[in-house]
Amino acid sequence: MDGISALTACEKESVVIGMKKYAMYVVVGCLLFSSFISAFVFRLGRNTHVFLEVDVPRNQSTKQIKNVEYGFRIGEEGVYLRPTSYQWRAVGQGKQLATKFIKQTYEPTVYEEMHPYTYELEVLYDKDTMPKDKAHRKIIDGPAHSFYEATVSSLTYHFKLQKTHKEKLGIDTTVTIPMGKEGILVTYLDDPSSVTPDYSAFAGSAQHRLGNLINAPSGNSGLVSIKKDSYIMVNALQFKLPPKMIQTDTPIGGIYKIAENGKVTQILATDMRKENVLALNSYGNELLAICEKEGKVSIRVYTADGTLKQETPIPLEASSLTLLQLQTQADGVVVIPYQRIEDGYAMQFLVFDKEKGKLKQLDAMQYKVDEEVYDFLYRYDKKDNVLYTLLHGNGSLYLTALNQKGTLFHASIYGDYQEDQRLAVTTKGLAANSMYEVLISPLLNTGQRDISDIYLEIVDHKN
Amino acid sequence: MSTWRKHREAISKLMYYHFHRVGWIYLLFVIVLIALPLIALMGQDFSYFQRGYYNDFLLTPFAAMTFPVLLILWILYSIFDLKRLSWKYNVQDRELILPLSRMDLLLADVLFLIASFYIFYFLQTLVYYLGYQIYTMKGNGVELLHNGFFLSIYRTPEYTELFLPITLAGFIKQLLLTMTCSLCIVSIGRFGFKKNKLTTLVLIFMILMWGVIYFYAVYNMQVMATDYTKTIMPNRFLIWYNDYILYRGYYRYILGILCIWMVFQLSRHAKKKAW
Repeated sequence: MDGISALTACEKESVVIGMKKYAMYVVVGCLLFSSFISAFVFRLGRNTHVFLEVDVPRNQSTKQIKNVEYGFRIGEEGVYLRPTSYQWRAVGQGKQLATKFIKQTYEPTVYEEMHPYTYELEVLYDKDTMPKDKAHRKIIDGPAHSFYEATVSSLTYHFKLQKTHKEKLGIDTTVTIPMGKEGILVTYLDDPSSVTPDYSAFAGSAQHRLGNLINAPSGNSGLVSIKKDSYIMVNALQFKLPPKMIQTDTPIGGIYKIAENGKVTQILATDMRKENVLALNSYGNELLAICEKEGKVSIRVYTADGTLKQETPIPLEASSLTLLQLQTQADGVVVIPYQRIEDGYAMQFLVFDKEKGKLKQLDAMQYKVDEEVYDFLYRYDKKDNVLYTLLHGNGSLYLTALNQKGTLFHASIYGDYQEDQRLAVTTKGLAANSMYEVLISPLLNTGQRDISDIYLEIVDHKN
Repeated sequence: MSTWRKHREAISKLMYYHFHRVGWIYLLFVIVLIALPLIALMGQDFSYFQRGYYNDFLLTPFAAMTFPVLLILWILYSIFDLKRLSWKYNVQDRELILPLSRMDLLLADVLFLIASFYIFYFLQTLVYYLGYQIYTMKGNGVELLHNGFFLSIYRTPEYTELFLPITLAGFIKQLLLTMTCSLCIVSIGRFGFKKNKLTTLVLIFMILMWGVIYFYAVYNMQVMATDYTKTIMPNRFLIWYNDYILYRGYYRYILGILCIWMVFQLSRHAKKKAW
């Protein structure tokens, strides 16, 4: 045996002797190594990625955008939500955007903190007019749904207003509205609480003066607060019916005040057939409302007890509007975003400000949007006369600065959460191509991410 | 020589002999575990895939199923290996003359199996990671997610927790399952099904219930896609079992009790004069 092979044999022998003596510790090593890899991958999970990409116009100065601060929460959503869910707070100022990992599993949203009330207006199920027999069962293919269908001569709405947490009752009443000679088609499931009337016959401006606004998002859901009191509006849009049809014994439309002790009073009563409050917001210690009377739109200032203080007409026709909202800022600026049917997705903004105690139009601008917008925020900087918007459409966020001349800055915000909405859990079975994919589908995409609590603020000019 | 050292060296020596006995077969398992998924992924067409979502690992049957199938085969082979020793070499009689504690003989088998399972887990993690690298290489021109490897684990936790748990609960689940499998192999391999009726029954019941609930979920997902008015799970016991035992994790207590019971049974057998 030469020297090298003798050494190799000797080494081999020592390894075997070592294994014979210490092989037991391999188990401990395996456990430690496994936990080390787990911890390492767990740490990877804390990283989430968001970035801002400036689209147009590239040659424009981004000076204005430095004054704006924005943010949102990235959280984990889905059916199989775990207690160890991750959350991040993304905060940006100007073009700088960063995420911060949050340890808490749940944060109450801003809406819940501000409005401790629930306001519901739902169509009630009626045993007599909505039978559940074979004659009324309807099955539609691809994707197939089955439900019951019937034509009813009247609808009963349950109008309920109560405290979210303490369950203290405010208003709990029902209103029955006749649907005319032809009646209305309703669909309902085995669960009696979900009755869906087919309002499509009433949508569109050809039907009535609020026809285009019926499906518009309301922005703040009509619930606003002044000090410790809350206010809600009730209008024909919430009934999704033409105003002329809503004939009630007492005028239930208008503005309601919910005092801190839970007492509810109607401070403004309107006949919804002629006059409606379309948007409501607080304005210091006063209420600001956009109202329509026979199709003519105006902005009104009410005191906290419902006395009309000022009315300024707005040159808009209610019948052509597809979206109308009202936002007030702490510095007294009022922004009214609206969309008209003839403009497509393009949004228009009217800006008002208080001058010598009275509201006066300050600015007007247009923003061309290419896609449908789910959620949006806007802030007007009256020193620079620039409007900042943060739009949420199709999983992406868009940050924009506008003035009368056009778009000053436009950037898209991308992140790891973007495509998750497409990974819907309930539709997985449909997408499967083979039996194997059907069998594996419950294991796929059981964790998803989404964004919420979006905010936009203008920061101090000096910074 | 101290007692601990004596036991450690005895167990280590027995583990080494166990490895010497099944080493080549284990190597064959390892080669299949690594090669088969990677070859399957290399042959997969990723041109249609959704950007950044590494679901194609699970959607490729050879890639996803190799690991669980090999685990089951390894469990069966290990039981067979222990049985073979008694059938072919009458090993129980030979072990009577060894100057060793009988508990050491059993512990060596259990510890060897635990180590073998954990090496499988590590290799599967490696395969999953290498598969992700193949996936990113083949997805030319498609913008991938920044943290795609982690997100793929996060989006399929029910599968990835088997080999790479990222939570403490998942780690405990993996350890409990590994210990249960190892103890079960040794109990049944050494003393047969007849002397482990309760363990066998409980395990068969748990596997069956898991299977029924899983297939019910698959069926339900199909039904819900076509008719959402159907109720989700009509049987009250299934609802209770799914909610408490599976979802809330009470199966951990059952597995824990089962492990203690098997250790108790093994120690009882070890004290007997004859095996």
